[in-house]
Amino acid sequence: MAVCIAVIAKENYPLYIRSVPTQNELKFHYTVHTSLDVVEEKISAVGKSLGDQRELYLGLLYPTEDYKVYGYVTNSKVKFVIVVDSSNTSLRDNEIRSMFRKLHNSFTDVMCNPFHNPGDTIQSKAFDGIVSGMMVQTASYT
Amino acid sequence: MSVPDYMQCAEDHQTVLVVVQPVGIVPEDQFFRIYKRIASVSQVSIRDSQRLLIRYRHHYLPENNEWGDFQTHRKVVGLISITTCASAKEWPQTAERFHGQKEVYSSTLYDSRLLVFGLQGDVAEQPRTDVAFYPSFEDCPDVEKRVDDFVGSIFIVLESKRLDRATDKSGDKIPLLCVPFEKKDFVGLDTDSRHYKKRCQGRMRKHVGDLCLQAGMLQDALVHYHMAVELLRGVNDFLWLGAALEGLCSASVIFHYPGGTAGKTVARKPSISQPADAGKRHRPGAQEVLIDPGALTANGISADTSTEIGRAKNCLSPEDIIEKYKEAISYYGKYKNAGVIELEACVKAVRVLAIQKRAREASEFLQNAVYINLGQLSEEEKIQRYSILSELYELIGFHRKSAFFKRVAAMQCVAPTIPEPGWRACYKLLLETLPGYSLSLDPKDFSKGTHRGWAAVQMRLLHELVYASRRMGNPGLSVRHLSFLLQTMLDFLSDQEKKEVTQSLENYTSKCPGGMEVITLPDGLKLPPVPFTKLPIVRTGSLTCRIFKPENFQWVQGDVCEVQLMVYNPMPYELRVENMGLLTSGVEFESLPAALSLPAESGLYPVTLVGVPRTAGNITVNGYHTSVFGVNSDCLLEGLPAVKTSGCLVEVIPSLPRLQLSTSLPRSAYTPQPTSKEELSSTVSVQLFNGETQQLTITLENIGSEDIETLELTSKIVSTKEKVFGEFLSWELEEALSHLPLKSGQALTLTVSIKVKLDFSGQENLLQDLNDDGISVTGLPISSPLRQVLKPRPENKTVSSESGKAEYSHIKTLEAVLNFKYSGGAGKVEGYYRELSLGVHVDVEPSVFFTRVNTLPATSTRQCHLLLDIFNPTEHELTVSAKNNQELVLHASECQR
Repeated sequence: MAVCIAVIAKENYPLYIRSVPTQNELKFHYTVHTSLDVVEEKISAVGKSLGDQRELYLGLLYPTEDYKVYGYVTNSKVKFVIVVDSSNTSLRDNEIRSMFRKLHNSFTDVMCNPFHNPGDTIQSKAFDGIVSGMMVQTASYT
Repeated sequence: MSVPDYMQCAEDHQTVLVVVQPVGIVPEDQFFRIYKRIASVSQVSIRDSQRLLIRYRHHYLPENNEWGDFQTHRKVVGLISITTCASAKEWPQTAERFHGQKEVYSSTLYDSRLLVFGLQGDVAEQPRTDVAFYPSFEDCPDVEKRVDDFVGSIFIVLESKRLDRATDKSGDKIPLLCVPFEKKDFVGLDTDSRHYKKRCQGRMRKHVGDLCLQAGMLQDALVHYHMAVELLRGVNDFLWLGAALEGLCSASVIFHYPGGTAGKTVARKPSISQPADAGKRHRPGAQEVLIDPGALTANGISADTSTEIGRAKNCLSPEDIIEKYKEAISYYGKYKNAGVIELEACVKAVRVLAIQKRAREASEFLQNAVYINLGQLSEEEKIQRYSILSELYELIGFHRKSAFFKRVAAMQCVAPTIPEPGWRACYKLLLETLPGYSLSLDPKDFSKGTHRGWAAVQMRLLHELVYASRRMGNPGLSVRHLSFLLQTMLDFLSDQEKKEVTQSLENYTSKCPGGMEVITLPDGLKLPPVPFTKLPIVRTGSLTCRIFKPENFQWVQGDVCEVQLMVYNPMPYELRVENMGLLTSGVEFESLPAALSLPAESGLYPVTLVGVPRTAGNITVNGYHTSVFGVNSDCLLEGLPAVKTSGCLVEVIPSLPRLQLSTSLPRSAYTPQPTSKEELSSTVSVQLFNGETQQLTITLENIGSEDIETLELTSKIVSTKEKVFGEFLSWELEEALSHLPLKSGQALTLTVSIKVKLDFSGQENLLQDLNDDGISVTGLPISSPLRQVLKPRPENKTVSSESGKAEYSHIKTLEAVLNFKYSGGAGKVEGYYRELSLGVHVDVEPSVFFTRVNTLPATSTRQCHLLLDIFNPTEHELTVSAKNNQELVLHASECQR
């Protein structure tokens, strides 16, 4: 399961970022922030060759010593980033894909909320719940 | 070999290495001046087709030199020594030193030169090829020529070595070239085996390839490299196979990208003999469309078919270059001692990929480079490594990654293990990371809209800037950065953090108060001032209009003028704002600053800022200045999101006198409602009975500095419902006017008489009573029997008098405004005047009611007696007097006939 999940706006500022364990939050901020370089590069590369037909899932952005960073970009250029523990080898690509799809669905719900102002940070409890379901349970960590 | 050369790029493989070093005592600046002149000779053409490229180093580890056989461009083949020598006596010693230096690189050196400065006389006269004498550092015109010759001689040696090796066909005598760490592995190996011979052959091929490349024979080099790859692959000699592959890559890169891959970092002086090359040079950072020369020739555009054939056979395609680099690096990776080679290969590959604009693959190479372990690195090497990683990420457009590594490098500069932390370097590097974190130090960029960035990361960076600048011993910078942090990140700081930030800010400002000046750093970066527009936050909202009075509003020269702002404190604790005043432009303005203390997270709080315009003209209120936590800020209205206006123009008119008004009657809080536009300075109220007259004494004092020259008084009755008989307010102005002009500080009095005469009759119920009696008041003769009818109705009367009492005690009010118009001084000349208004509020109580009217026939038919029922609704005794001096005393609430 994920250790950090982030939603990044089209203009590359965070809409939502959550990580476990929480005490190392800043580190994940750095990880997600730098991963945007790769995301941008991937988007621009795809844009050149395929036009508008595009796979939303970007796959593994880059592996670090401890974590694997996966990316996903919606058609409106909103980015989802999921960071998983490198030691978690059981996780397959398909599962990551389905996590992103779930995240995307929930994000769409948030956007459908007439009281939500697109561009604001996400404060939806429902979205929070979906994210929590995908995160590593802190209890299993301790 | 432990120190990698991060600046290396693929085309460096075709250069020869020349070390330029000082011998003995040479002033550093002089040495580098000569070094630069020497280094300008970077390319020498030999014959028509060949040229030699030279790489100069003023520092080179002999340890690295030992890898010269592995890759010949690592080999020091030339040495130029620079020395000073004052007298002939010192000469032998200097020559000795020079020989000592030659010894260091003796195993690889092709040739050497010594440049002696300062020596004149016999010794200098001797013609020597390896030594050149110059009288001084200034007087050495032919240094370049000397170097040119020197390079020529190196080329001859190189060429001979190449030919020597290339023609050496018999496999028997081929020596085994090896890298330093391999030497002990080959002790006692069977030198006669096929395997060993093949290995020797492969390595030698690779070596010849290197030499060909250096000698500018690209096609030959490619052929040799290919053969070497075949040979070495057969014997699984991975390290050297990697080197052969890398050689292949280098040669192909040189072919494809004649402009080089180093980018801006190495400024190679374009040679006159090859202007075409210089023109084709690619700039990796530029946004131009890359035209791959390889692709062009593949399409048959190339005119030169001979190179076409050679290229097609041996030269790698741009994609293959990367594949081969990958392969080479994977082979290097098998050897722990070849870490530096692997790292450098990664860097070279990244530079090639940057030119090919394949950023993602480049990032994979860099990612690999990050993990290459070079063993124990010194702190300085670590900084260098992170910096170069950052630079390379920047090169491929990964600005965030670049910023990340730059920040790591910055932190490395001040690692606790370093005895003398380089805070200055740390600060400089941190500043360079700002764009990567989309952070600008101009608060204007932030106030434009909502925050768009990574607050947590940006805040961290700002904190580090604050700390670094403090350790640099520049509290002014710390204050500026901390102010910026507080101003722009206020919404993201927790209460605890707000407290910490402000506390440290106060600490810093106690030593160095913050101001509004632009701080310019030594490298030219400008830090714009950070006004605290959020401490406190100014919200004028709907009040803007009333505060600034846009229409028909004037200030008077010399008078205290006010601007009201609504502010609130967003901090979780009390905020002390000192020295808060107005910022104006236009006429001379003396601001009278105020200090205020706003409670924690206060609501809107009105603040009145005052000042005195000293001259007449137009004044624009642009904003306000404050001093919070020891930081002085000038906040312009245009920078405030809550305020729409960007300033407010007010006309300042010449000075006018000022009057203060006091009256004999008590002031009242009661303000008449319809106070059109003029504002009342005060209101008096008085209670009078109908018909009563009261004197009101008004004292007018000149409290201004100008003389009062004119005074006019008008009155206006406000409530017009009632019919007023006679003059309500009357006065004699002549007496008062005789005192004019009224000097400053003087006073005059004016008496105004208030006379109330209202019509209390004609009220509905009164008429009702009369009608009930069937009596007409029109004055017709009324018969006496009617009077009898009235008599037996005493109960009716009491009822009527009781109800009447309630009715009659109805108080009527009368309001008027006394308006003083006065002028004087310079303002009068321009036609300005001031108005002072006094509201007069009178409650009028009825005094006498005539409740009934009856007529009685008199003795004469031409006359009649008029009988009036008089009612006293007051609580006092009153006397009614008639013309014939008859007096009637009425007690309170009494009714008499």
